Amino acid sequence: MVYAMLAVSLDLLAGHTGLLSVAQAAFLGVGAYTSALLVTVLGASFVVGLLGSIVMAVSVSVAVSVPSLRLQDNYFVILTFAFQMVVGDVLNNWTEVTRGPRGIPQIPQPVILGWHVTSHLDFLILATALTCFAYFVVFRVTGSPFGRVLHAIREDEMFAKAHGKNTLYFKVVAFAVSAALAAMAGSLYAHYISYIDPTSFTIMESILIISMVIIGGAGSMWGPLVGAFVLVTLPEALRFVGLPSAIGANLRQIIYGSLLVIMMVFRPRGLMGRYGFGR
Amino acid sequence: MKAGTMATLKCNALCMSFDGVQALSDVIVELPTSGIVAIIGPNGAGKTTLLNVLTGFLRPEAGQVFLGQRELTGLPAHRIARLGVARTFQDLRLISLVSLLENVLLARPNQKGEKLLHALFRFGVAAEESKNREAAVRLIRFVGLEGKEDQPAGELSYGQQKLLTLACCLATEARILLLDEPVAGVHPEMVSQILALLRKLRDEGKLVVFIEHDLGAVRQVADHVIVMDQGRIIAQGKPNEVLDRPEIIEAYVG
Amino acid sequence: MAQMVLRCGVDANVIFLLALGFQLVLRTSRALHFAHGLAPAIGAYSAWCVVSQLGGPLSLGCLCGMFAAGLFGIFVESTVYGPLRRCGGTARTLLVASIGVYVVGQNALSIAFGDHAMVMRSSLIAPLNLLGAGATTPQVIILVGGLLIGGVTHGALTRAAFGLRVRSLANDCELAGLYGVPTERIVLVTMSFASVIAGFIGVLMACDGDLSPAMGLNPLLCAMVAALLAESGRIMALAASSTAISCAQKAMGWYLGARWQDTAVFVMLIVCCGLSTTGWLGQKMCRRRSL
Repeated sequence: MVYAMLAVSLDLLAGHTGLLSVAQAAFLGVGAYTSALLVTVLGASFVVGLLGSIVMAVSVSVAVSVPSLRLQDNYFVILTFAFQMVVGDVLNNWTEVTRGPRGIPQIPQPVILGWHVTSHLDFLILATALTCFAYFVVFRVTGSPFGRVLHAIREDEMFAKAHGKNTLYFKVVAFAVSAALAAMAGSLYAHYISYIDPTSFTIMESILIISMVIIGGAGSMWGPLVGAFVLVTLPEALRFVGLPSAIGANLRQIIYGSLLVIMMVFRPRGLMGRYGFGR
Repeated sequence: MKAGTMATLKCNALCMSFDGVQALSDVIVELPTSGIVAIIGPNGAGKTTLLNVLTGFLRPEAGQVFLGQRELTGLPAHRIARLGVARTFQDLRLISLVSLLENVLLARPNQKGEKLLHALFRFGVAAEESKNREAAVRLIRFVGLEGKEDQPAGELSYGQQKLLTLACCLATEARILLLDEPVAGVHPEMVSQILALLRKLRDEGKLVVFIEHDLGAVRQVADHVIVMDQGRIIAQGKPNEVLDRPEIIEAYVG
Repeated sequence: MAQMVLRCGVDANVIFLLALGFQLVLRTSRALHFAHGLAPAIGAYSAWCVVSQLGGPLSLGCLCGMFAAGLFGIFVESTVYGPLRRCGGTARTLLVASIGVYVVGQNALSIAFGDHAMVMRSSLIAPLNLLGAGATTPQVIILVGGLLIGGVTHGALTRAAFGLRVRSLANDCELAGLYGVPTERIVLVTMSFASVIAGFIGVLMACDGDLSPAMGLNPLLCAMVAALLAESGRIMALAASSTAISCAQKAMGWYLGARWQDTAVFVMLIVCCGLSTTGWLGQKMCRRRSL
């Protein structure tokens, strides 16, 4: 579920606006850590933590994107790569705040308006609700005139500019919304696992999220969902086959790495997508 | 927009070079408030570069561009478009995957629905959308593509796509239209259709500036001709005066 | 102090050589060759196999490493980038495919060799004294190698006939093809050149530090930033940007602690983007007509 949210948040950026970002896990991490810190250190409630993480993610994304979205899209990817590595470093090294590799343990379970989210079922309900919210946001945004401009930017930015659209604004906003949704997912994740550490938010995670979007299909409603589903059940399937888990993790990554390559060659639209990255 | 309604577009001593090639040298142009102006010249004369500078897609190394009293130099392209100066591209930029209607709708200015909050909560967006839709349909009819509104733009013929780019340009409600080769490579029947449209636009008070190689087309519609060669303006004036001059013919052929 | 300068110079050369390869591939193959981060690792592990498993001398290991890395490059180009380009792939699809290749490769290395860092042992790695700073042989080789390779490449690109073909391909590949430039062959040659250099760097890095499947990732990041900052493609610009990045890294490390080095790279990039729209020593970065 968390991954579905992440996938759709990236899809907004990559599938609908055409901006590939390797930094979703970074925003996931920002959201998770902000939320966790607000809750453990300041004793805030889950909702406040959630809102705080969204605010943090949006501010960071705007700070990063405003100077860098003026670049050509392909260089923007490099920038998101750098940003991802930096966030990884910060989470690891800023030990005063983030406790470094030791992580933040004992994140309490959420309490929303008196409802104690304790069991797996409760979490599933919460996760589904939040995911639906994320999907709703993306759906509304992409179906509106705002979304129309995003699609135009994806295909031909000069066309949009020549007809009076301030493309920088649109790209920054898309990036910010994407970051906000990722942070929301991070918040949920932190409370679900109740322990977070920097290893969950590396570039490999970002690549996993990208794979979900691409394999499932970019630019459509069901694509990211399908992608998330496929890539989350894959390790379970592997475990079923009986592979030792050490190799299993690597093998899983090899599989989706190869899927990425294969998809690009044969079906860049993904399984259910509508956008083939220019092909 | 009100303040610039009758402002003239002019530029002053524009200079621009790429990798050592002087694309524009000391170009000074003052365009009329309405009418049809043609910019002609051999390949590489700097015509498209001039267009790019006037519309903000390129920043000149020297010189300024003015719309009335307002300086346009250095403004980003989308701002200049909103100030009433719209353009088409030589290489036909369109969103080929979406329908004609969507393309034209995109070009409509000042859409509330384009702000994030309105995209999410849709206050009054529906009303604005239907108004824009009507305007878009009207424009598609104006350029003669009636009935094809829902076809993907990529399925049109080349000439039809040129008409679509014109419709998008008009959708921005710009008063000054800069068209880059609007009839190049188009079927002769469609050429006269496009030229007739340009005349209609002039009659509505717009200024149409177009770059063309087809001297016949230029003779038919242009009120004023600007001839460029190697980054300079070598002649200006009425088509009949300018086009028959031997040095102009030589610049083209020689 | 001399030690820091030395380290700075060595790292700058590492970045420079990786960036050189990256940029060459970008301009000829039109691919953002994310998988370039694998070439050092492949080179290093191959050398390690030769040295530690088969007991061969380091020089042989180095050659094997370079060869293996070159093979890797050729393999990726002919099986992934080439076919993708031919059936209409854009820079973005190539990039995604490259990321896929990298993921596959890094994990394959993990499965084969494990994730933990290893060390390359050889008698050739002995400390030297260089102007008051303690240097190891690999470091010296990197320094010298960087200058040599940079110089040779610059000469080749600007003066040799081959270099002219590469530049024409970089400029406009359709036109170059029309003029009889053997585009596919040039793409393969530049890719193998880039990968071989990267393999070379990988072997030396392994001698100097540790060897792990993800060893190429951080240097790749710096190399990409260097290539981005020196978009014009001039070798001098690339050298300058690599040095600048290395210096910034060391400076940040000096003042704030070694952990913040990557942050320096990123901040530098953001600052450069924010301040201007031109590449550092190159042409305009935005508002360019598309390829």
